Amino acid sequence: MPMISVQDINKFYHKDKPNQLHILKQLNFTVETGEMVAIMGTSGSGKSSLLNVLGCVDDFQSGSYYLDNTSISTLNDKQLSEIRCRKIGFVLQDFVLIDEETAIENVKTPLFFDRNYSFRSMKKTCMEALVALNIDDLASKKVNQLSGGQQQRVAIARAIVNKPQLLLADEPTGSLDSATSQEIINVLKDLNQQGMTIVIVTHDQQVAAQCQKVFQINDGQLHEHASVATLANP
Amino acid sequence: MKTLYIAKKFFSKHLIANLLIIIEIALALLLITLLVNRYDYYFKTYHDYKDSPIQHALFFMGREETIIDEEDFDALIKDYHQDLIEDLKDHADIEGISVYSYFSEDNGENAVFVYDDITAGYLGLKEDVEGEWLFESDTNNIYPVIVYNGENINKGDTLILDLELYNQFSTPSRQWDEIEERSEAFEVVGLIDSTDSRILHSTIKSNASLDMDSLLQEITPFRDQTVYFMEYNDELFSDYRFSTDNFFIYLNEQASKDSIEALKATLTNYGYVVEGSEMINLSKKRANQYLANDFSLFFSLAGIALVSLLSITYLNVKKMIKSISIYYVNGCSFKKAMSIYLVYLLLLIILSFLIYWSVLGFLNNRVATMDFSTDRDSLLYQFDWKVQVQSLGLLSIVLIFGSYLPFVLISRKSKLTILKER
Repeated sequence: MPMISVQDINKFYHKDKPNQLHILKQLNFTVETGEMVAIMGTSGSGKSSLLNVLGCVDDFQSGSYYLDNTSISTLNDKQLSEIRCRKIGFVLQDFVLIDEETAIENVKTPLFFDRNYSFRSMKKTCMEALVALNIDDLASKKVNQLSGGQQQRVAIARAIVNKPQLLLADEPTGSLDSATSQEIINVLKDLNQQGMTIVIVTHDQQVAAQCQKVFQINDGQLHEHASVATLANP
Repeated sequence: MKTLYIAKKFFSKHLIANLLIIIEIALALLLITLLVNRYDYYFKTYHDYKDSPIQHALFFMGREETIIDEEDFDALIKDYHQDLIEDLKDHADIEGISVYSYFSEDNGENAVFVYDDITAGYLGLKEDVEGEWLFESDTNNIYPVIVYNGENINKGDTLILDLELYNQFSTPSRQWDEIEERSEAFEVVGLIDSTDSRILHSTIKSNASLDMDSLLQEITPFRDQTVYFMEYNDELFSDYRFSTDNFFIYLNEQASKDSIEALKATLTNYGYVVEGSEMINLSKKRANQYLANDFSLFFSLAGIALVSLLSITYLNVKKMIKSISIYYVNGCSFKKAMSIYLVYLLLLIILSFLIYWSVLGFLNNRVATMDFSTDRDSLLYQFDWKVQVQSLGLLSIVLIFGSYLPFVLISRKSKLTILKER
């Protein structure tokens, strides 16, 4: 059973207006459960738009999207938000944390919207996520006092605190140096080995080469690379 | 609780901006309250009388002076009363003729007002009476009285009042300065401590436009006296039914235009006549003029306060949108995001209301010690719960359109796009 099954997705911006943009064109995409895949493409090719659709943050105009055998297009806003809360974790470039809050307050974010967690149980669960990322000693520090790599770890902790099945990462190493980037990729690989399905959007071939599959998006359509090995050593 | 927690976080995160917003809201509430008070004050007459029997009445002003030339006197006065009342009393469209007479009591120490039941009914005194209303009491062959400003007078007391009865104009049988003294027993059926109602008491003569306010008099100038309100009865007052020769003629609501015009033509032979509805409309026009004069200043101040308030809240919205976008990506639904912002807005409104309420409390204490020339003037500074609710309601509408709606519209933009914008 694939975790992600996308068929003939079409996405438009400014539909039926003079500046209409057809960003995803009859796109097909499948990710099996437990896979770690990369999506590469030039700027404006539609990779972030695809990630938005996969993350149920944005909609699409036609086609079908099944996430863990659930049809996304039939769900209302409340149901989609529950999926974003419990089944999907999002890691973004520039970390996108709430700067004035501490690491643990940031990690708590998804738990505020999950009815299964009380205020008391939130703290315990967040600490577990911070321990998993080896940053439990930074729990009470404000995130704007942390390094780039530490902030990205906090962002990953937030993304996994609710133990989602799917992790989406949009340029997770885009703001980091190469050494720190590799640390972050190692964290993602560890999570993948624990069973999490991971989709990474990246322009970095070194990052893509460490995934099991690499897809290239061009002009709104997706193609799988014949060989991952050639990316690392072109 | 989680929604409240997040809203509280928003508040604490931008504390200075939020404190500014709270002060602005409190200020806007105060201005709105003053505006509402002004509106109530200017439109009180119109609102008090627009649904009263005066809407279907004619106001007659006899063309008499208190002293006129002796030669014409007998003929005019004699014909005027006898012929006019004869013409009116059996008219099919007339429901009643008003009585509002003014006398004195105890050598001019106290005042006495006498009304018929229709007139007393719409003056608004009934609402301020503690006890029974004059025309609904049963006092077993003793005349009822309602007392305003009566020291050591209680409900149920029997008073012997020394009435000084007179007309304010001369008749063939009685000169205007002839006073008949009469002592009668009255039972106190109700008491009035304070009232912003006004009483009819007018000797005005005019064939020009006339508004209701020109017929009304404040009770407040009588607050150094005791005022007795009595119902008209023939036994006591028949010779003094028209202590002034102005009165209302109450018409049937179904009276036709032709019938009214015919009646007016008849009355014009004896004096001046104005339709009650014209008088009420003129009161409304005057109120609009006063309001327009006052409001330019208030509107300017309120406008400045509201524009700066909306600017600050708009900037705050933009700051909050990033946080809301992060929440959205992490599982917050659109509805939840709206409820978070609404709770945050309510927090601001509640805190502002507390400040506003404290200021009003202070002002109320000061107003209580102020000496107004009339009780009606105190309406300008009345800060009761009704005015507060009205002010809060108006401001909430402004905030919803000026702050909540922009938030909703901005939030509909793609969440990740907002997050990527720097």
